[in-house]
Amino acid sequence: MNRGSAEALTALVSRQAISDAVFRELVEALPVAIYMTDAQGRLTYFNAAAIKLSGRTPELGTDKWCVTWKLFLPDGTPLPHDQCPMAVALRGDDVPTGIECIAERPDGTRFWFMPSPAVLRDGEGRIIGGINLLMDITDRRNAEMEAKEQFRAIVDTTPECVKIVARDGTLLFMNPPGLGMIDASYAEAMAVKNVCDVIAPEDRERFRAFNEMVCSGQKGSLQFDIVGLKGKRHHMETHAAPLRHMDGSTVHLAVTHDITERKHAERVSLLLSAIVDSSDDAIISKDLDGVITSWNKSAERLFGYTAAEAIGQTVANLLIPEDRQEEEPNILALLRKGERVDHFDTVRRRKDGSLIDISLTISPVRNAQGVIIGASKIARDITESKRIQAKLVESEARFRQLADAMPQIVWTARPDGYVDYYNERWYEFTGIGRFAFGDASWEPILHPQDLQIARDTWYAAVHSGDPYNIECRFLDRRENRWRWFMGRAVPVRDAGESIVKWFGTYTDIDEQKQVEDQLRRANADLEQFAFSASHDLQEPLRSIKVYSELLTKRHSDKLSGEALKFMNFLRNGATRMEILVRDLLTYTQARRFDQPPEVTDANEALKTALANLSDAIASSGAAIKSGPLPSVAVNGTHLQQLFQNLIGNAIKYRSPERLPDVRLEAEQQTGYWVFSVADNGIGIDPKYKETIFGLFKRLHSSDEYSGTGIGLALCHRIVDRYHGRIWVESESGRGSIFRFTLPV
Amino acid sequence: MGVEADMAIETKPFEILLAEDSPADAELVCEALKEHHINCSLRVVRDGAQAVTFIDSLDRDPKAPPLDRLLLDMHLPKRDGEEVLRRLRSTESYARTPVVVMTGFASSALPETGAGHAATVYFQKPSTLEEFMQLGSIVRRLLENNAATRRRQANDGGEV
Repeated sequence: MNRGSAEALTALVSRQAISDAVFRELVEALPVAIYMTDAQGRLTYFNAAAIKLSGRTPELGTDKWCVTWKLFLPDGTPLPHDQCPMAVALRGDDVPTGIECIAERPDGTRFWFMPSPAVLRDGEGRIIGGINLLMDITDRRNAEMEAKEQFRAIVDTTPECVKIVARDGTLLFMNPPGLGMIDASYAEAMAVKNVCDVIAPEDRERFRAFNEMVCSGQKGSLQFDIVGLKGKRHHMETHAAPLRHMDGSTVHLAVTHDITERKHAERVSLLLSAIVDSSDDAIISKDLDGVITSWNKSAERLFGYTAAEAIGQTVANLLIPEDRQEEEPNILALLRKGERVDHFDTVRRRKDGSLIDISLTISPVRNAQGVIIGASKIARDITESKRIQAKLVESEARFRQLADAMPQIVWTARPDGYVDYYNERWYEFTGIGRFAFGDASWEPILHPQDLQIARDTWYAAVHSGDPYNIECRFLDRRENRWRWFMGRAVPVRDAGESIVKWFGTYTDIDEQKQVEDQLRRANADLEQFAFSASHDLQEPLRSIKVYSELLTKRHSDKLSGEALKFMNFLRNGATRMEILVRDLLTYTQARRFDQPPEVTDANEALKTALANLSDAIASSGAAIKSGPLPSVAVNGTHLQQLFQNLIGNAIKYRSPERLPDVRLEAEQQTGYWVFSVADNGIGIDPKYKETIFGLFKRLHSSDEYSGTGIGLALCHRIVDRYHGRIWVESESGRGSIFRFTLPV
Repeated sequence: MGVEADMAIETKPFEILLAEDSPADAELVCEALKEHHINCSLRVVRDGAQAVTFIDSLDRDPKAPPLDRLLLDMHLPKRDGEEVLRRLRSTESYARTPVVVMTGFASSALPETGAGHAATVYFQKPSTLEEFMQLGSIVRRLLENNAATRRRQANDGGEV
């Protein structure tokens, strides 16, 4: 019954188309509450259904419409009487249709109803009364409420995100799990202007199109990423359906599931299968009866069977040779107990019947409940490593053979310094037991004075990884004396540059050491002798010279011409000898110079040398030119002696055809200087270019060129002292270039 | 000769001790002194031990004639020149006596005892006659300085 019905009734009543009695009978029988009022709203009639609904029998002509009720709007706020639909209708105003109200009976119970008021007018259109039909909609409302509550309960208890999105992207609703996914409170979520703001930027366009599609009335599903309000990414999968909204528009209702974990698991699983496929090792899984359930590419390569051929077969039938059949039951028994088989080296058979060495690692596989359901098996081909190992054993044997054949003591040590091998020489020499290895094994025979340095050197080398040389004394038990040894050790490195072993030797250098000592002493004695001899030779020479002069001066009148000539020879001989002795002394002193190294400006040394040579330069008309010279770490006197001798020679051995022209240069090389003294003199026959540096070596008689044959030997000795080199480049008649090197 | 006239102020010849083991060099020293007309009484000893004995005897005997000069060869047998010089400087009377220390060829290190002492002069024996004779002029110069000193001492004593 609705408003139309009430109007139809009104029309009937006003037109008096039916009799009053018939009308009343009809209305009484209706299951709808109906009442009528006069123009003031006083009740003039109500039916049985109205009495039942109102919970009281009103007094006609006294009670106003609904006077017994308290009225409320659907949201629970009280509805004043002058605002209620009948009052509005009697005032002649339009009453909106479809209004639902709540009324409270005198006993306090409430019910929902829908009023349909209409007014009765006379012939002039004046309002003379009203009629109202009250539909009891309590049952419908309760059913609606129940459905709504159920929806809410579902939405609130589901772990999925439930949301409603308008066509323009406005978020209309989102349940708490959904809020959790986008890291927002309800208020924050509702403040989001557009739901696309929480969608990952790269997925926004797709989502917008999807939303459009759903709001156009289609169902669908979509995977996309959200970033939430705090930027945290989730992979989502949504299932959406169109929903008619209260305002009549179609909106997008979606249940969205967080599939981040599933995606991750998918990726892990993909990765895992990629690993399994790309592994060089055969990876096989089998159940507890030994039936193969998976078979990767390497398994195919290793055993020759394809996955199709292998899966479903038992390991025992397919792979295990006859003589090893007992292995599989043992392995399966271990697996059932939940134990692992680690690096089990065995032999398996290929499809072609050939056998391969493999190393097996087998682990039980459990299902989600922890029950062992099978095993995964990794098989590695160890044919190559077996071959390498065999080669290693062979090369080790060869090394030992070689080491034992060597005259030196040979040892090896681990990277941490533990000595793990000595050759036969060691045991022969030391008499130490064959099982004494390790760090301290070499210490008992070491000289106490050498112990600390030997230890320090060795451990420093172990620490730094640098090779080393050391000299130390070992006790020779056969002669009961110390013998000198030279120890050398080098680290052996693998391809990755890590030290894998130390390899060392000890060489007996005792005799060499003794000879060296003797030689050093002999040299020292010789130099001392030469020094003393040349020193003491000076004294008698001086007497000879001075007295020959005195004799000539005092007694020339008593001496014959021949005697005077002889006296002259005597004096000249003594003078020459004096020069010779002085040069010899200089020569021996060139090595005796124990002064610390000094830095000498070569230009200064040259200046002194030229000053000493000034007479010779002046008398010969020599031109001496020098480029810029460096400072060198050489004693000043030594450098001056070098220049003086070489320039002196250049002037002395000048060509009779031209004036001497001497040029000095210095050129830097890495770590040293090369000096050169070039002349335009008579030159040197290349066959003498070595001998000229020897002591007392002269190429000319003293009649032609004076000299002691010491000058170049002295130069050689000086340069040698600084670990330099001196040499000559020359040809007869074309001048000479003397070059020598000195440290920077 | 002017020089002789100057020297004549001294009535007594100078007392000079020569410690030299080489007769040839002792002879040359005499020649050098003669060449420079030095009026002296020269006492020659042949080794370091004799020189020390002589110095000791002078030191003990207050009446002994004062020693004016010591010409000392560095390389003496028995006790070397350095020791003789040290002994001389340790005496009271001769701590300041002028000494000429004669060295052979290219003596590498000079004795420490004489170093820095105003009254010590070094003479490296040269290998030409002319240079050797220079020793005379060195001794003469030392004597003139000393003569002046002695005169001053005599005058000071006179006033007292």
